[in-house]
Amino acid sequence: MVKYAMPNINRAVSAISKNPIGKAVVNQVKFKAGVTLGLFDAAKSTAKGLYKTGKYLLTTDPRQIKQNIKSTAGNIKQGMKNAINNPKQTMAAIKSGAINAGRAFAKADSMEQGRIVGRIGGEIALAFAGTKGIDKLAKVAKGSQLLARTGHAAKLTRATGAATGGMNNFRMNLQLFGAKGTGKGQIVIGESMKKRVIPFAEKIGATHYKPKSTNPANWMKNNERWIRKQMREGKEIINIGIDRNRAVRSEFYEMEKRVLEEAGYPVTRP
Amino acid sequence: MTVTYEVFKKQCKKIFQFLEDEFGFQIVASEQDLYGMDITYQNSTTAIEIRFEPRENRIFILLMRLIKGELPNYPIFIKNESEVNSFYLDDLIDLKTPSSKVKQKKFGDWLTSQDLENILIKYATVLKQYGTDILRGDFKVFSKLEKIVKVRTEVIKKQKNEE
Repeated sequence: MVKYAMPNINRAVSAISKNPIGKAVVNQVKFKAGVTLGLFDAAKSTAKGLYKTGKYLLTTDPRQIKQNIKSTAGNIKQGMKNAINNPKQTMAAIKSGAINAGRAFAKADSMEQGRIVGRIGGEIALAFAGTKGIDKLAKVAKGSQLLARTGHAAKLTRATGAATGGMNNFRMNLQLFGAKGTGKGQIVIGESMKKRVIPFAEKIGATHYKPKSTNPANWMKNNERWIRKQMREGKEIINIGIDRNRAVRSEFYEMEKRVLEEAGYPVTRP
Repeated sequence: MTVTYEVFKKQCKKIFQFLEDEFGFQIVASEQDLYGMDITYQNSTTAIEIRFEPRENRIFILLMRLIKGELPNYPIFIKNESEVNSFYLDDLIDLKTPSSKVKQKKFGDWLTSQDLENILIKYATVLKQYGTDILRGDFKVFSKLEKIVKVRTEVIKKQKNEE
């Protein structure tokens, strides 16, 4: 599949990437193609694994293997849903491996990112698609190098489920976690900056939003730009919530919450 | 910014002069930070903080019960078992005289000096009329305010569900 897909993808890339708008489109195309390849990798790997253990595939006939891969891949969609709906179990399984995938992902190009996303999504999905469900997932997590490299994959899955369930969100979260791997720290959001956010941030050694502009027209957009930057940099965002003492809600905090929710960005609640 | 902190400070001192004249308060702090400015009045039992936050487009009036003569810590998290020693005047108004609710301007419709003065006058009037017990060190009403504050999260959730 890779063999046949690559020339077509490369042709598409060179044709479209000749203009700036096309470049963004190309990245998206490459990413989607990568996802497909990753899903295929996952299906292939699972089918081979089953063959080796003698539990499922009893043939070395390439056509039969292909057929099995096809039917396994058909389970991915349902399995993905199950994985998303069982974040706790997914998390537990993924934690058995854990560490660096975020960083590897952050450095990869769009195609490779797509492939990683597809592979992770596919492996989780296939594990859930099986009759043994969670038990099988644990085995997948232990055995898979890719999963082992993603300590945060379960969080990603949960975030993905909370948003659209789409691979793009999955990818974005991986990017965020990838950046997080560089250890750039924590930020605190919440209502009542002077009385709550700043004291809490200082207590835990975190930072917070510091407005600079005196022009009201810039206040909201500067704050929004800041929260998006924190996400891009993969900061851990600690949300201390509303100030229950206040009768009115803060527009800035509402905006921050909305932006985070829309992105499916994980938030820590103390 | 359409209103300067100097204007706010000047208006505060003029409008809340009654705290010094009638209730023995003194200005103990006047602080400016990145988010706003506040002036704190204090007597032997009570402290009142008047805060202007231009970004929030609001004035906040905080009523505080002194603890051993000191300003209480503002609670970062209010749990059911927390003792709360400071409440906003808005909740006192809501409890005692809902029809006197001080309407502030919406976000984006930025406060002018005149708006600021009008709002401060309204708050001062209500405080003088309905908050004399607190200003004189009688905090019985705080237990009722505490109940309002502690169910706020649930009330907000309910409102959101109804929308």
